Amino acid sequence: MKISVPKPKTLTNENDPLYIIKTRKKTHNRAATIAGPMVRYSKLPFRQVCRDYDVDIVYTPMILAREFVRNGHARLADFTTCSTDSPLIVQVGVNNVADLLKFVEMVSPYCDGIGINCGCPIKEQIREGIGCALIYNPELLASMVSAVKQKYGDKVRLETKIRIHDDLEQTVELCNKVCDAGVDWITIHGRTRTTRSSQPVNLDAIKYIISQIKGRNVPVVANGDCFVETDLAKISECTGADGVMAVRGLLANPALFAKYDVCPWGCLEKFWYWAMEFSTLPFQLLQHHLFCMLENMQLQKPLLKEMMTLKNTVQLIDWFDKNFIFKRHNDEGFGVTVDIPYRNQA
Amino acid sequence: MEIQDQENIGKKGFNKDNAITKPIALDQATGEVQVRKSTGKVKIRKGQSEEEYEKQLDHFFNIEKGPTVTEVNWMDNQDALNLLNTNDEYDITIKQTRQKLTSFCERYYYQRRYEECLTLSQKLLEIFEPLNTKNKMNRELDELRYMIDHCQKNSNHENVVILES
Repeated sequence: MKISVPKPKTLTNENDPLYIIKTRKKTHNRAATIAGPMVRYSKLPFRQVCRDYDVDIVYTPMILAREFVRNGHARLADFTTCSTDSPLIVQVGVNNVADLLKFVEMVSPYCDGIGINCGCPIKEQIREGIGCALIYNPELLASMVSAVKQKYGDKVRLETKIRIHDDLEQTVELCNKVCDAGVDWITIHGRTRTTRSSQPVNLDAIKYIISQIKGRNVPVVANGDCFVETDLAKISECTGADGVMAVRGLLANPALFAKYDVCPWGCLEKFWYWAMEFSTLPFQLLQHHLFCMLENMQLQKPLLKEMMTLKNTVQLIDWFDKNFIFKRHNDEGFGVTVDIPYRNQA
Repeated sequence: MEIQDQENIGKKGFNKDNAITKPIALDQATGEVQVRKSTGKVKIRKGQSEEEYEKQLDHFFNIEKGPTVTEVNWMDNQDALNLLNTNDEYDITIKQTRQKLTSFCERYYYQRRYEECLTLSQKLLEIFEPLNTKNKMNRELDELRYMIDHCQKNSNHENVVILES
């Protein structure tokens, strides 16, 4: 069987994530801004709204390589994109070289980089040797990185997103191994496998690791507890990282890197627009996104509760029209309002 | 790849960080791996032969044409019902297909195109209702009925406004 496999997407200064991470401090006087992967939530409409608000690089949710390369239905459900969905990193959950190479072959024509998930602490994934399990299996991780980089070189950008170990020397060793294997950049989440997200991120640990691998010329992105705009500079200065990745902070306020400390109403209008245009977001996910944003805006609690009782997308649209001045894409003033425009202000 | 740690699962003093985290590669070429649950039970994740992979590759690039690509305004260039009639991939017994078709109505509703929404919702309700043999589609049908009801009200309201002006 002769199959014509498309080449990996061409990388330019506009979409090469490594170039962006390496140059943002010079060109924009700030670290690169990155929207990290979230199970269920980093879908296309959310990725697009992040891009409306100064996010440089956006991740997909983790896609399991084993399923993706074997099952058309999984592919249909897991990865939807569009021509402006760039720069895009597709995050992969994987536990062997063969699946990773196949996954890269299938996905690289449609994204700007691939990230290996070595941070997911969910026990079901860890039992499969996926996610955070990989930080305890440096040989496997290095062999996966090496296999991809040997096959594709600079044509495919490859990242590893790791958590820290209790013993930071282990993390340094791990980083050195993946650097040897040719990784393009490393994202470090400053928590261990068992640290709860309610505990503060360990920025000193990230700073230490960066200081130890400085000579490797492999950029590091710092991840954890980036909730408001000032956190970008704080995390970047404190750790020396070239990029800062926000995850939960962006879920609540996709505009946080655009200097909005609270999610602006216009951001929510834009999110609605993208969600309706792409039609890929199930109602429950749409409702949850809106809940997170409205909670961040400190919407009146009874209204927030009422919204969560709604049963479908059109009820949501009516509810927005009833309670707020809710502009559509072609309406004058769409996407620019900052405060909640209540219709019936008590 | 070997792992000694797995032998120690469940033993006192064993560091759980290192337990059950390293899959054993049984066949490097196919990706067949052995993983072990915390109970100690072994699970084999089957590999994929080159032939099977080539089939998937062919399907992905030649039939699926890569991942689903949805551009802005893509729905303006498609007739939802026409898709149903002409595209074999649109099997309405699959929930995702029905959701995709309903999303055309939702977008009309969002854009305040109530008459188009009404027409399509009525047609979809007519097609979907016979499939609801075990009441599993009630939510989907309720949304279509809601749209029909509210589109009729909104259309009437618009007509009144036009007459009054």
